[in-house]
Amino acid sequence: MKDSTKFIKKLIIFLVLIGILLLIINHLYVITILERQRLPRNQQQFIEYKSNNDLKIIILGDSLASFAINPAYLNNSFNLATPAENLEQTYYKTKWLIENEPGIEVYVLQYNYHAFNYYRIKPYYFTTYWKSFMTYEELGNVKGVSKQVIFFEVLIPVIGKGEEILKYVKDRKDLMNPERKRWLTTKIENGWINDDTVFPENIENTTHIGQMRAYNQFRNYPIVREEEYTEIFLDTLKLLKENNKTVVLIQYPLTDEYLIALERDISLEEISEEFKDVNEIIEEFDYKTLNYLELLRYNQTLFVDSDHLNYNGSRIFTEKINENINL
Amino acid sequence: MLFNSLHFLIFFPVILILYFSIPHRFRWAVLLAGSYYFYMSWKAEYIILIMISTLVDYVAGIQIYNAQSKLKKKIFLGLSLSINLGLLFAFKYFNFFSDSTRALLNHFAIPMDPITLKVLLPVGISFYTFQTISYTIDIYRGKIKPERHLGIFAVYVSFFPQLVAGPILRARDFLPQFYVEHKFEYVRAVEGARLILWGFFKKMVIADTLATTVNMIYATPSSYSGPYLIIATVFFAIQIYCDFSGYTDIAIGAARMMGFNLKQNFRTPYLSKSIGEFWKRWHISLSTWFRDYVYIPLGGNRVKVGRWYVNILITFIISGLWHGAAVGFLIWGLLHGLYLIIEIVFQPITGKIKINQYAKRFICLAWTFILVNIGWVFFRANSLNDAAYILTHMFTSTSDLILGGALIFVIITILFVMDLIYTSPKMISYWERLNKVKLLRWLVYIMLVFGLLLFGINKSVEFVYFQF
Repeated sequence: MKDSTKFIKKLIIFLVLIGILLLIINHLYVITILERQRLPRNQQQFIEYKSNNDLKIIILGDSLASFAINPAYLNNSFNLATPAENLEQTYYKTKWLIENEPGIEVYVLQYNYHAFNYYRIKPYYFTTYWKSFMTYEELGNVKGVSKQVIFFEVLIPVIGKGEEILKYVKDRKDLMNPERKRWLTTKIENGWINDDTVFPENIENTTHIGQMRAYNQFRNYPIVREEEYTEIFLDTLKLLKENNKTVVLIQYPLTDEYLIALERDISLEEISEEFKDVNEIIEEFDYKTLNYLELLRYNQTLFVDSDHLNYNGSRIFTEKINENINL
Repeated sequence: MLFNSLHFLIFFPVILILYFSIPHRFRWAVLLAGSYYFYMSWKAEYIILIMISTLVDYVAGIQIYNAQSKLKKKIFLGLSLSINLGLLFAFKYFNFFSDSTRALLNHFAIPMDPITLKVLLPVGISFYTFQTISYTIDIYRGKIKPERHLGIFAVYVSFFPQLVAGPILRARDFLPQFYVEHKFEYVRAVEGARLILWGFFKKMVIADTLATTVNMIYATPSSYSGPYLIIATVFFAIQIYCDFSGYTDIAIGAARMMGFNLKQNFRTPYLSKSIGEFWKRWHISLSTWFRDYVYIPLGGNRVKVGRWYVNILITFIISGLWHGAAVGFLIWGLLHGLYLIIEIVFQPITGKIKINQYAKRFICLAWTFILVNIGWVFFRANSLNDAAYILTHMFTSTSDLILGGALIFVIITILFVMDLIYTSPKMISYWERLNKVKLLRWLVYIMLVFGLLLFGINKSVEFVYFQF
C-alpha cells in the first residue's frame, strides 16, 4: 500500500473514532449537565410559552429581574432575564426580539446601577443559548473567536466545557455543593426563578454576604459607570424607541445589608447624580422609571440573599409592578 | 494566522496535499505562496519587510561571494547588516531608546519632546532577521555558497512553520533540503502529526490554562501572599516552556510531514544541573546563534579572564534585549550572564565537593531551577517594581516560608524523578516497549485530542514568543 493511502486510511479511522466518542460524550453532557442549567431551561420554556400564548410583555435583565418578577401575576408576560446577564447581552436579546417577536409591546428593562459596572466572568459561556439571540458573527466578535468556532460550539456544546465537567464530577462527589444544587434544581416557571429560601434563616452572617455582593458588583469602584455599558444601554433604549415599543425601567429592590455595604463608599444620591445624563435621556424618550431600590430594604424575609427576592418577595413585588405599570 | 486556530487546521492540510501533488521543481512555489499567505493573514502590508530582507540578502549574498576584494565583501555585508538591523531597530527598539533618552535628558533637566513611531511590532521580525543575518555572515566567512534560486531563498526566509517563532534556521542545514525530492513517507507523517498533536496539547491545554492564574496574580501581585506569588512564578516557568516548546513541536512536526528536518529547540531544560547546561537545552537555536555570531566574534573564552566575563555579559544582555525592548528583559539577560560567571568562578570549588551523586544531582537541579525562576520574575512582571515586590514578598512570614518551601521542594522532587526516569537506560527501554503497544498509543492520542477539545478550544491565545 502506498504510504499516503495508508496514512489517510488510518487518519480517517482515527477521526471517525474521535467523532463517535465525541458524540457520545456530548450527548451525556447535554442530558446530565447542560439541560439542567438555568439558561437552557429558561430558553426551553420561552420556546414553549410563545408557541402557546400571546406574548405581550417581556422582562429582561440579570438575576435580580429573573428572581423578582413572576409572570403568573403579569398577564401575557415572560421573564427572559438570566443570571449574570450584562447590558450588551440585553441589547442583543432586544434586537432579536424586535426582529422576531413583533407582538411584544412592552419591554421591562432593568436599571440597577451595578449593571453599568459589573465585572462578569465568562459572559457568553452558554454559546448555544446566546446563539439563539445572536448571529455567528456577532457571537464570534464578542467572544473573540472565529464564527467557525462558534458553529462547532453550537453543534457540539461539550467542546470547551472540560472544566465544567470536572466541577460537576467534583460536586457530585461532595454530595452536591449547596450553591450548585440550588443552581441546578431551583424551579423555573415562565422564566421566573422560584426560590423559597429565606435570607436571614438561610445565612448566618447576612452582613458579610451583603458586603461580598456589593463589593463584587461594584468591583471597578470608584468607577461607577462604564461608558461601554452606558452606550450599549442607550442603544437598547434607542432601538426600542425607533420601533415604538413601550419601555418600563425598573430599579429592583435590595436589602439593608447590601445597601449599607454599598453606601459605605458612595451614597445612593451620589450614584444617582452620576447617572444624571442617562436619566435625562430616559426622560427625553418618555420612558417610565420605577425606583424600588429601597422598597423592601428592611424586609429581609422576602429575599433569598442580599439582593434576590424569594417566592413571597416576588409575589408582593410583581403585584406592586402590576399596580404601577398602568398598561 | 495562529497555529491554534481553525484557519491553520484547514490551511496546513491544503498546503500538504498541494506540496506532494506537484512536481518537485515547483514545490518551492507552493511553500512560498503558503508562507506569504500565512504571514499576510496577520497583517498583509508587513510582508513588504520580509520581501525587503529577502531581496537585500539574496543580492548581498551573491555579491559577497563574487567580490574579489575583502573591502567589497565588507561593504556588502555592512549593507545587509545595516538594512536588516535598521528595520529591526526601527520597528522594535526605536520607541524604547527614544523614551529612555528622553527620561535620561529629563533627569538632567534637559527638555526633549517625545518622538515615537506609531507602528505595530511585525510578528517574527527578530526570528527572520537573525536567520538572514546568519546567511550573509556565513557567506562572508566562506562557510556556505549563496543560494542562486531567488524563490528557494525566499522560502528559507519565510518558511511558514517556523516563520514567527523559530527555531531559527541556518542556511547550511536548511537550503540543501530543497534539492532533495521529498516523498510522502508514512513514518515521517505519523511522527510529524504526533509532534503537532503534542505541541497543541502543551500550548492550548497546559500553557493557556496556567496563563489564567499567572495573568491574574502578576496583574496585581500586591493582592496576593507569598505562596501565591511562588505558585504564579512556577506556573509561568511551566507556561512559557509549554507555550514556546509547544510552538516548536508544531513547527518541527509540520516541517517533518513535508519532508524537512528542523533542529531541536528544547531538550527538557528544567532538568539542567547548571545554568550553562540550561542554555544548551533552552531555545537552542537562539543560544547557538548568539554563540556563533556574538560571543565567539567577541573573542569567546580565548581571551583574558576579565574580558571573557565581559563577553558573557554582553552576549546575555543582547539576548535579553532580543526578547523585547524593556528593562525587565535586559535584567533577565544580565542576571543569566551573572549566573554563568558565578558558576565559572566557583566551578573549581564546587567540582571538588564530594557527596552522594544523587544528592549532588538534586541540589544542582534545584539550584538551577530556582535561579531560572528568579530570572522569569523579571521576564514576566509588568514592571520592575512588581518584580521587586514579588521577589521580596515570597517568604515574608514563617508560614509562607514553610508553605512556599514545601511547594518548591515538591516541584523540584518531581523534576528530579523525571530526570532519573529520562536518564535511566532501563526506563528508556521500558518506555520504548510501551510505545510499541498500538492500543496504548492510540489511547494516548485520543486522550490528547479530548484534552484539546474539552479544555483547549475557544481560547485562541497568542503564543508568548510571537511578541519577540
